Parts: sequence; C-alpha cells; structure tokens
Amino acid sequence: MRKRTLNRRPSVSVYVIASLVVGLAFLGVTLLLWQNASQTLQQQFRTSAQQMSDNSTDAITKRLATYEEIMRGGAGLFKASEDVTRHEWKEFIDTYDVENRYPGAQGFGYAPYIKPADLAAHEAQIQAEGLPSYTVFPAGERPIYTPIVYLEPSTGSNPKVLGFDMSSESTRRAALFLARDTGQTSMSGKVILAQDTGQKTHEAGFLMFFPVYRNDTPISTPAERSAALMGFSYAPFRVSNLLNGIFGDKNDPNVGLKIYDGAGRNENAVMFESSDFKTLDAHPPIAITTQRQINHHTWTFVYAVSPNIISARDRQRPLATLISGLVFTVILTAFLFQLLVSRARSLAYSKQQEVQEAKDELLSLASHQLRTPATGVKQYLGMLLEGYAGKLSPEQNNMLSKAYTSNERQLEIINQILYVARADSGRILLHKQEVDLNSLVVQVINEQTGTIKSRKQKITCKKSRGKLIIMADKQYLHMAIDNLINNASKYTHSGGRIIVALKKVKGEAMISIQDTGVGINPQDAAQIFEKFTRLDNELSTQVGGSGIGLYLCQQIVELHGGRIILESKIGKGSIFTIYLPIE
Amino acid sequence: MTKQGAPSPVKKSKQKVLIVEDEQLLNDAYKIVLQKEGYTALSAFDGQEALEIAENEKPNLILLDLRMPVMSGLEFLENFNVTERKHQPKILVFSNMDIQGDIDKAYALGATKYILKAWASPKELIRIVHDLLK
Repeated sequence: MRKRTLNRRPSVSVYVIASLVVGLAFLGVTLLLWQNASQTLQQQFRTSAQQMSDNSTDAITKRLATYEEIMRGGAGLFKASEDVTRHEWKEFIDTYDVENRYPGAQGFGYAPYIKPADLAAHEAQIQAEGLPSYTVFPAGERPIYTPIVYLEPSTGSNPKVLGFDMSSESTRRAALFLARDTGQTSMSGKVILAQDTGQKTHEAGFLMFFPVYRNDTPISTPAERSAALMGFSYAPFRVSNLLNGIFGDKNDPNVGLKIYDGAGRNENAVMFESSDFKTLDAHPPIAITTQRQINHHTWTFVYAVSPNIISARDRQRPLATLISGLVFTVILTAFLFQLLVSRARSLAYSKQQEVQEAKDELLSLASHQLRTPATGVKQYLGMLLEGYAGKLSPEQNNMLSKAYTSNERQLEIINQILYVARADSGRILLHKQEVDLNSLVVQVINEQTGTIKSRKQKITCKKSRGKLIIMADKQYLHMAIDNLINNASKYTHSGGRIIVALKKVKGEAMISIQDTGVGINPQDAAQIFEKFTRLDNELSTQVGGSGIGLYLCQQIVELHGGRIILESKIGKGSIFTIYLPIE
Repeated sequence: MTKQGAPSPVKKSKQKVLIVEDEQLLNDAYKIVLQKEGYTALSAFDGQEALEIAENEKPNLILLDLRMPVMSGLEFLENFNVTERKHQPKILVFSNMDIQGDIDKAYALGATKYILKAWASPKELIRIVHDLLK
C-alpha cells in the first residue's frame, strides 16, 4: 500500500534557524566591515603619527641648521678680519636678533685655540680689554686651551662662563677635535652647560662647534687643519629651551617626545622628555622611534602618540560601523523571520483552501449524483401530471401527485444535506451583492402563494418605508427566508394568518415572520435551531421536514453577521425575527 | 396542444433547441416536452457532439448540462465562444452541479441563465424556454 505523505507545516524553529543563518551571515559581514574599518583607522593613525613625528624631527633639525648658519657667519667674521673685537662680535650677533627670531640657543660665542705657551699672554690680553678678573679655568696644565672669550647675548649667566676652557672636559673636547679635524660643524654629546654649574637643576644641554682657520693656510688634511686652527665659533643649547624655542606653546597634548643622545634608548643619555610623555607612553597605542644624524652626531627621537590625533568622528567610525551593522542585522533577521512565518502561513492557508475546495467539489459531486435520478423521476412524473401522455383520471392524478411531492421532498433533503455539510465544514462562501430585501421577500412570498392558498391561509407583507438594501448573498438569504415562511405556513392550521414585516431598526434590517400557528414550547426554543431537530406537535405528522431548515437559517443569518430571534406562545403562534447589519 | 395555452405553433416550429445532456433518460424527457410544445428539439450527449450540431444546425437555444463525458459543458462554452459569433444562441445552463465557481465561469463564458436541474419541473422548463426565446 502506498503511504501518503502529509504536507506538514514546518515548526517555528525552522524559520528561526533559517532567519538566524541569514542573520549570522550578515553578522559576519558586519564583523568584516568592522575589522576593515578598524584596520583603516589603525593605518590612518599610523600614517598621521609618522607624519607628525617626521614633521617634528624635521623642525628640530632645520632649526639646528639655522643655528649652524649663524655660527658659520661668526666664523666668516674671523676670516674677514682676524682681529674681531668683543664689540664687533656683539654687533654681529645682535643683527640676528637671536632672542626673538631664533629663541632656543643660549647664545653664540667664540673660543680661541691657545697653546700652553701663549696662555699667559692671552689672559693678559683679555684682561686688558676690560675684563680684569678674566682667567682661563679650570686651572691646570693641558696640551691646548679653548677658553670662551665672547658669548652674546651677555645676559643671564652667560658672562660667568667667560674663560671656561671647553677642551678641559672630555665630551666637549671630542666635539671640538672633530670639528677641528673635519672642518665641519660638530655637535657634542649630552653635557651640563657651564652656565648651569652650581645650579640645583641640571638640565641637559649640548654644544655646536664650527672651526675657524687662519687665512692663507692650507686646510686639506686633518694635520693641516689642526695646524691652521685659530679657534671655534660655537653655540651652547639647553635642550628644553631649544624645543620651547621651536614649538613654543604649540605643544600637542596628544604627542609626547623623548630625545636620547646617541643611538638607542639609554636612560642615562636622556636629552629631553616632554611633560606628558610618561602618561602617553604608559598606554602607547603607537610609539615611533626615529634616529637622526645631526652634525656627525646621533639623536634618537621617541614619540608616544595618542589616538586622539585622529578626529573623534574618524575614531568612532569602526564602532559606528559595528553598531549600525548589528542593528541592521537584528532588523533584517526579525524582518526575515516575519516574512518567512507569514509566507508559511499563507502557504498553509492556501493549502487549506485547496483541501476545502476539494471537499466542496466532492460534496457537490455527491449531491449531483443523488439529484440526477431524482430529477429523472421528477421529469417523468411531471410530464404525466401535466398531461403530456394524455389525460389522467382523478385517482391517477392524486397518486402521481403524492409520488411527485415525495420526490420533491427527497430533492429538498439532498439539497439541505449538501448545505449542512457545507456549513459544518465552514464552506458556505457568501457571494455578496446589493440585495433589496423588500423585493426578495415579495419574491419568496409569490413563490409560496400557491401552497399557502391551498392551506386556506392568508399572508400579508408589510414592507419597510424606504428601500431596505443590504450586502448579502441573495441565494442563501432567499433560502433562509423561504424556509421561515414555509415553516410558518406548515405549522399553522388551515385558515391561519402569516404576517411578514420589514423595518429598519438602529442600523439593522429587520425581517419578522409571524404566524398564528401551533407555537413552540419555551424549553424547546433553544434546540429548535439544532441540526435534525423536529418538535412534536399536532401538525408535525402531517407535514414533512428534515429538521435541517432552521439550522441552515441560523447558519446563513450568522454568516451575514446577523442574528435570529424566536418569540413564541404555545397555541398562539410564533415570531421569527432576523436582524441583519446594513453595511 | 397542451393544457396551457401557448404561442402560435408556426412561430415555434422555427425555433430550434439543442439539448446537451449525457443522461439518456433526461435527454429523452426534455425532447418529448420540447417537441410537444412545438420546438424542434435536437439531442447531443456531450460537448463535442454539441459543438458539431450547433455549428450545422444553428439552434436558437442550447440547453447545456455541465458534467458530461468527452467534453464538459464548461469546455463546450470555451470552444463554442458564443460571444464572438454572428449567430448567438441563448445558452441555458441546466445542471445538477451547483459549485458557485463553475456557475460564475459559465456566465463569464456567455451563458444566458443557470438553473438547477432538480428544481425545474417540465412546466417550469417550458416557461423558462419561452421566456428566453421571446
């Protein structure tokens, strides 16, 4: 035997899973976009930080190059006239307006190169120039002396360093000899400036030297340069002042700088550390280390850069991408879930429709098959009764009439069973159209006039004042009214009276069918609308009935959104009232 | 001719009614009644046969059952295409099937009227035919 597979509706979990799969895919895409945005931001940050640090380092080296030019100018002054007076040197340096235009250098000075034999004469010469307390210090015998003789501007602690022999100290000496031997500018390692000796704070400093050679002397080789050396044009620097002079107040709180003397990060050789470097370096989103060779000397620049150098909008982009992606994913997933469920519902609904339609067709087919033979009987009996086969005797006519009536009842029952089956499966489909209730009632009455007259009953119709038009299925409504009038006639004695009245009552159409019949016991009133219910009364044996009519009546009225009400008194008659909404 | 007075036989004899009904018993019954009433009654037992007869005989009215073998009443209507014809017979759909969808379809295909076969006695049938051929 073949098994039939049933089309079951998938459970909600299937839709949940399907939606989640799509949701997860979108979540994946969101995460990818987020990651991409994060990487882009990192890249942007790195580039910005690199650019910023390069700019900063460039500014420092450029400024040092400017100072070098001034030093070279000083050297040039000695070239032009070997005998440069203190006043001339002051005038020369003053023209640069160093304090205002190039803040950062402590001053520009000159230190002659003096052999031990010439030391006494040198001291005497300077003393004679108006500096009576001038001596070269520190005291002691050394192979050569390079005492500071000029240093402008001669303000602050600058005058107190006059006479200081810079070659007496190894770091300075190394730089002095380098300048002497190369003929180029040299830069010293980290020193404490002579100006700061005896001060509480020892700020890091350094010096730059440029050699001054005697005119008309060969200086091609280190030995020749050493022999021709006259002295040094020089400049002392405090690193903090230098940087302050370069950057001034433009201190970026998002960038910390630490400068080391030499290559690498030797903590004993720290030249400078900005106030916020430690804080920024503690959480270094990025640290950039650059080494620069300046005048034969290496400095290591370390920049600690905060992500805040990127604008807040740019920084928030990855998060914004993530959040909007998540929101979109959630909305999409929910929407998809909704869509799937409603689609499944509509599919299930149409499937149900199909099943119902198939059922309906089967019912129609069954009733068709039942009706056809009865229709044959009806036709042939009808032909006999109507004289198509010759005149009938009264007795023949009477018998055939009974057979005809019986066949009619059978047809009616087939019909009613069909409608009951349809009503039970909720398959009474209303085809609503505008229905004029007055005309419909008149039509039903006209159709039954013959039967009613044969029972010697009187029927009257009280139409409503105006037109009473509602949206209804004419065929079904006809069936319901027909049934009620038919019942009224059936359960009323010969000579009785039937009154049909129509009225518009509070937005509803009212149709009442009143008779002077046998009436209905109040306790039976409830079950009278039930299927296959027939009440016993004095007329029930004389008239036929299937017990379906009132059930169908109520079904039809309720399908139209209306109600049917029964009032009755045993022996006095009944009133069935239908109320239908006027749309 | 019958107990109910009828229009003149001369006029009626010109009117042709094609009965399309697969049930022999019913086909015969309608034929008897219609002939007795003075119509020229033709019989077909399915839609296919009806198409041929309708084409040749050009009836004034077609009494059309819906449920038939070979070709159903609805298929007949689709093929016959009455609304496009020069000669347009009245079409009385006369069936014991009462699926509303089929009835609507029949009207859409050019049917003039639908009657549930079981409700029409010979007398009622004749009244309707008279009305349609007035």
